[in-house]
Amino acid sequence: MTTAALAVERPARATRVSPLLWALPPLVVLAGFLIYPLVLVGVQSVTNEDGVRTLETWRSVLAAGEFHRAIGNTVLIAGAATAGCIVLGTFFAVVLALVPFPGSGAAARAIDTVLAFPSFLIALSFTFLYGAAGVLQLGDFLYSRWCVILAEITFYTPFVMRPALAALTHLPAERLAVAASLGARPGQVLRRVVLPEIAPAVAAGGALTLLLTLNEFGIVLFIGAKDVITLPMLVHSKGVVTFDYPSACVVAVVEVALSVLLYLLYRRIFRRKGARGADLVP
Amino acid sequence: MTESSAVQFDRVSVRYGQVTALRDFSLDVATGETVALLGPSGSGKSTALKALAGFVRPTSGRVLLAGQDVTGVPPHKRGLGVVVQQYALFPHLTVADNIGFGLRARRMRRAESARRVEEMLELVGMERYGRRYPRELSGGQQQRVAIARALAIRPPVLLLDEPLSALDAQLRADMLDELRQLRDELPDIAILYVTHDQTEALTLAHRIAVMREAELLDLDTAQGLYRQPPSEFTAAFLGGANLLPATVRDANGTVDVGAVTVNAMAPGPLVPGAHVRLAVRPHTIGVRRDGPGLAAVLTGLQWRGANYRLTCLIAGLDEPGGVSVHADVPSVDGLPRVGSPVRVRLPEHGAAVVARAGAASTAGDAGESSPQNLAGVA
Repeated sequence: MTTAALAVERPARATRVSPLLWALPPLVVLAGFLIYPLVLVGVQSVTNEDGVRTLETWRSVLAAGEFHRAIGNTVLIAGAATAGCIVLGTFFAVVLALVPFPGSGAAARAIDTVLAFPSFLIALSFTFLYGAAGVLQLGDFLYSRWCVILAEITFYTPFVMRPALAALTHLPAERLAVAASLGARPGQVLRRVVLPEIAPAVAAGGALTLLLTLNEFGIVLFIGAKDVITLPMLVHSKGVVTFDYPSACVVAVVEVALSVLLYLLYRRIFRRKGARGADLVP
Repeated sequence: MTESSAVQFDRVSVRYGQVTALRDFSLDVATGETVALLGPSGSGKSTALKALAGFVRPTSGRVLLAGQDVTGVPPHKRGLGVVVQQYALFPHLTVADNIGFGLRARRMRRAESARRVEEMLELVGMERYGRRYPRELSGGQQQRVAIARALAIRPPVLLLDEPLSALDAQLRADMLDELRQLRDELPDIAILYVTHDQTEALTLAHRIAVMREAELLDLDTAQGLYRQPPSEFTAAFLGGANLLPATVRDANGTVDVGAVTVNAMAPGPLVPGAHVRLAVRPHTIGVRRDGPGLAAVLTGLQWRGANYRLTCLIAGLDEPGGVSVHADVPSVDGLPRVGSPVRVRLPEHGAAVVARAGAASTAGDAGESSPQNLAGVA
């Protein structure tokens, strides 16, 4: 048999599996473990206690003051915590990468270890710091919205710092040197060279932080601030405390929609930036 | 230091812990002059450039710009144009913004800055590329932008750190021509060009500073160093000269290489009987099957397109195991076969006497034998 004949026959003998078949198992798993429960939550939100499909629960939840306050708190806390994480995470990354000091590597690793902790641990430690018998007694600070924000900043800062640090390690030192030789002072080099170059990494970390802080539950629950009701807390309160499942489902659907919307917004912004410069795409 | 010195290194040393990257380096570069720092990796040439740019602080010595001591002055206050190996363009800025970066840092007015950017784009032939991003440019174009960016601030000194090493061979040759043209168009700028490529150094530099092991070894005009290399290292590194052991016959440069007598160029009156090295360029050596010349065996033959590189082992010459020489001969038929006996013919003129390290070979060199002193005599 000639080589040419072999080359012709081989594809005919091979068993071809449709790409659709390869995609099927992960799709089934995804549908079973993620999409189906979400659909159930959605269906539950439009079903009343008698099993009748109705939008009445939606109307009452959306009109309720506590829902408005929960949305406000959620957005405010997530926004403020994310902003704080971006500022602190970027600052730490810049200092650790560009102003190395003895022990800077150990400091970076110590900050990283926060990632391994459960979030409520931060809240618990805050009670020892700011509580009635704490080291720093700051009145009602522990039960305020600001304490929640501070706890979330403490916990989520590494989520911004880590990608920023990774981006900084890839930043060629020559670029900074050339910028300085062109007359840029250290502040200008930071503002006009370093920050724009690590912006995609910072934004990616910030977007992740925003999504996580929107859905943060452990910190808010453990701090136990009475007036700080967020969407996850409202879901918990409706579903577990008052057993109002349809209302809990409505709030959960709103929360999911909010998260997806933010994610899509993030993708859109970065696609646009990507069109301007490939190096900006994270 | 002369009045027109744009740059002066005054016994500059740079140490990183126990490692000395630059030792006692002194060099003047005049306004309008191009000096190449040539040497292998680790010879200290880039460190010298960094010390001048302010990227590293000298451990000792002084760096002067136009007569002013700038040793402790930060880079942003030195006003030098710097082009590095990988260009270091800012990827988030357009070509025009890259070129205008230094102008903006200097708070130049927007209209004037735009005019200067246009001027620079024109200078490097990139007028149509102002709105593009670096990633949309070829290596050669990026290099042009890096040069335009460095020149936009109108620096008195331009530092080029191996700017062509990231380019392919053809593009490198083209860019070398462009750099030479650019150099001629900028008579008021002193250029310090760091390279390990002898062709770049010979093509661009008025003077070449050969560096080795963190020190300045030889300094002379490009032609001077090529024709009369002061040291064995420079002879071999710049032009790949063969170094043959020779004995001085008379003070005017007549030397004996084995049984062959050669009239060579000498850095000064030679001491008869002194043992020296004869630097002979490969393209000046002839290889024949028979006839006059040094008896040798052809040990290697390498086709290089336009010519062949032959490697011949000359027996004797006071060297145990003989002396291996390279000869570049035209690509013609009838070359001897590897392993066959050949005659190596040395050029009647063009070879140069080089002092053997540590040996006195010239009259003026009887007490001091450093290659730099030899260059002084020449």
